[in-house]
Amino acid sequence: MAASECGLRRVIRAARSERRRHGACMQLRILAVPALAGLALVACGSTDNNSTNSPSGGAATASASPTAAACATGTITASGSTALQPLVQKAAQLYQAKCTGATITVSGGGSSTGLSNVASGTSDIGNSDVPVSNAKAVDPTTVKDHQVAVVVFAVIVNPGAGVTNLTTQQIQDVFSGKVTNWKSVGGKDVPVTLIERKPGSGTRLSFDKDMMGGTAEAANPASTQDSTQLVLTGVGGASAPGGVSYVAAGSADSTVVKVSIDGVSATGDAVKAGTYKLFSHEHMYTKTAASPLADAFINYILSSEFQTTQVSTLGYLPVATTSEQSAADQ
Amino acid sequence: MISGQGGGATAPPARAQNAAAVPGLRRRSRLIDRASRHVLLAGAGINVVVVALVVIFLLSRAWPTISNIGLGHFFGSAKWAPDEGLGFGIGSFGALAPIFGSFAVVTLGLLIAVPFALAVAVFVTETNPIVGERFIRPAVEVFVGIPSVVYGYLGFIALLPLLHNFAPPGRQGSGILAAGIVLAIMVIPTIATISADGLLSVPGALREGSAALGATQWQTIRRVLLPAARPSIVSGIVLGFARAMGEALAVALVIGDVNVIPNFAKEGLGALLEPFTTMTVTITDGVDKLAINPDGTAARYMLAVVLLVVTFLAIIMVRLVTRGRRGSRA
Repeated sequence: MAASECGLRRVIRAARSERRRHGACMQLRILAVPALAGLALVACGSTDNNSTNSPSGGAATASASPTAAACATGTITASGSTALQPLVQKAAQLYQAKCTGATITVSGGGSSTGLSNVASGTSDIGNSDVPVSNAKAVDPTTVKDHQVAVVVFAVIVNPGAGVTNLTTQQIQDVFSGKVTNWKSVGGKDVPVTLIERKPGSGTRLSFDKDMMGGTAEAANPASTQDSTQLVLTGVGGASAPGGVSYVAAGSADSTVVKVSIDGVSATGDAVKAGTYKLFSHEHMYTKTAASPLADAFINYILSSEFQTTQVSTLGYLPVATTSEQSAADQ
Repeated sequence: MISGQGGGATAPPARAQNAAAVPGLRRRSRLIDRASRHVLLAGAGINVVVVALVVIFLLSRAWPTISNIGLGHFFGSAKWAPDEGLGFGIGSFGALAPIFGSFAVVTLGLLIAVPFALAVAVFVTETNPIVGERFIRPAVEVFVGIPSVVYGYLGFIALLPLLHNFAPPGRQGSGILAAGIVLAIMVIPTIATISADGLLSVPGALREGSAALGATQWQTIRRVLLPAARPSIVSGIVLGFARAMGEALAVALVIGDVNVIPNFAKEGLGALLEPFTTMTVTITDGVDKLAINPDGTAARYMLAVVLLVVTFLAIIMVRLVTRGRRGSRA
C-alpha cells in the first residue's frame, strides 16, 4: 500500500509539473493566435480601403470593352438558369481578371429561382431562359430585361429512326403522341420513343411556345429528363432506337441526328433570315435601378469583344444574330 | 480509493502525506466525472433536438397542403401538375402516383433482394466460412460504399437496353422493374451483412444440439438458425427498406419520371416496364421551383413528411420485433 501511495504521489507530481510546462507553452501559443489575426485584419483592411477609395466606373458604352476607367467595383451575385450559367461564369471570370475590384458570384437554381431572387433582391442579376411574364409571382415592372444571347434548339432523333426532315405539323403530332411509329412520317418501321423535358423546365416552355402552338405534349412519354447529357444518351442510346427529343443545338453530339424543320436546319444564318423559328433569347434581369457593377458587367457581356469571341464557343449565338423575338420570348 | 489497509511502520507517515494530496484529487475527479456526464448528455441531446427540429420544420412547411390543398385531394387524386403556369393555386397536387410508385418499387426491390441477401449471409457464416469471410464478405462490404448515383447510371447505360427488348413498343425499358432491380442491388449488402452478424451471434449450443439430434446442415440452417436469427434478419430488411425508400438519384435515372399510374389491369405484368415516378423523384424535380410556387412547394414538403412517417413506422416495427423476441427468450 505504501508503495502504491508513493507511486500515486509521484504520478500526481509529474502530472502537475507537466501541466505547468504545458501551460506556459499553451499561454504563448494562445497569444500568437490573436496577434496573427490582428495582422491579417490590418492587411485586409488596407486593401479594402484602397478599393472603396477608387472611383467606381459608370456604365460603359455598349460596344467598348472594359478599360480601366470603365471597370466598376463592388460585389454582386447572379443566379438562375443553369443553361445560361456557363456563359455568365465565363464572363465573370474574364471580367474579374480585367477589373480586380469586382467580385461576381454566379450560381444556378433554375430560371424561376433567378427571377424570384432578383425581384426579392436576394441576387443582383437573375438569369432566365424565359421572359418574366411566365413567373406570375414576379411584378414585371420592377425588373429590367437584358437579352444577352440567342439559343437555338434542335429536334434530335436517333439515327435508327431514319428521318432527317420533318414539317411543323409532323413535329406537333410526334410530340403530342398522335404519331407512334416513324413510318407514318416517312421514316423506318420503328416505334417512337418520346423523351420529354420535365414540366416547368424553361427549355420545355420555349419549345412548347415556339413549336407546339397550343397543342400539349403527350402526358405519357417514355420518360422525362432535364439534364442535356441524359437526354442525349437517352435519345442516341440502344434503349431507344426511335428516340426523339429537343436540346440546345450546340449541345447535340454525333450520336443523334439534328432534324431540319420544314427543310431548314438549325443554324445561326437561318435564325437571322427568319426561316428557323425554334429559338429564344437568354435573359439577364436586374432591378430597374441596378447597381453600377451589375450594369457594367452586363454591358461587358453585350460588348462586341465578348459577343464575337466567347459567346459562340459556349454554344450560343450572339444577340446581334437576330432582332426578331421568337414566340417563346413573347 | 487508495486508503491504506494496514501495512508496515511506514504506513502512517505516507498516509499523512497522502491525506493532503488525495482530497484535492478526489474533488477534482468527481467534478470531472460529473462534467463529463453532462457533456455527453448534451451531445446526445443535440442529436435528438436536431431530429425534432427537422420534423417540426417539415410539418410547418407542409401545413399549407392541409389548409390550401386538402388531404383528400392530396392522397386521393393521381393528377400531379403543380407547376402549371408557375403560379398560385392553379396546379393539381394529387400525390397518389408518387406514393404508390415508392411502395411498388421498394416492395419489388425487397422481393428480389431478400433471397439473395439471405443466401449470401448463410454462405458466409455456415456453408463456407473460409471463402466467405475472406472473399465474399469484403466484396459485399465494398458494395455498401459505392455511391448510389453509380448504380443509377449503370442501370441507365446497361440495364435499360436489356429491358427495352421486353418493353412495349416506344418504351425505353425504364419503370418499376428497372428501379426495383437497381434498388435490390443497392440493398443486398445491407441486408446481407446484418443477417450474417445475426447468424454469427446465434449461440453454438443451438448448432451442437441440432447436430446431436441428427439434423443435416441444411435442416439446421432452415429450422434452427434462421428462426433464431430472425430479429437481426428483420432489422436488416427494414433498414434496407428505409434505404430504398429514401433513394432518389439511382431511381430517378431508371424510372422514367412520368406521373401516370401504369394500368396493371390492362397490361398485366407489362406495366412494370411503363415509366413511373416515386416520392423522392417528385421532390427532387421541384427543387428549382421552391421560390416561385408556394402550393407546389408545400405539396413536396408533404411528400417528405409521408416519407418520414413511413421510415419512422418501419424503425418502430424493428424495435417491437427485436424487443419482443429478446423478451420471450429471457
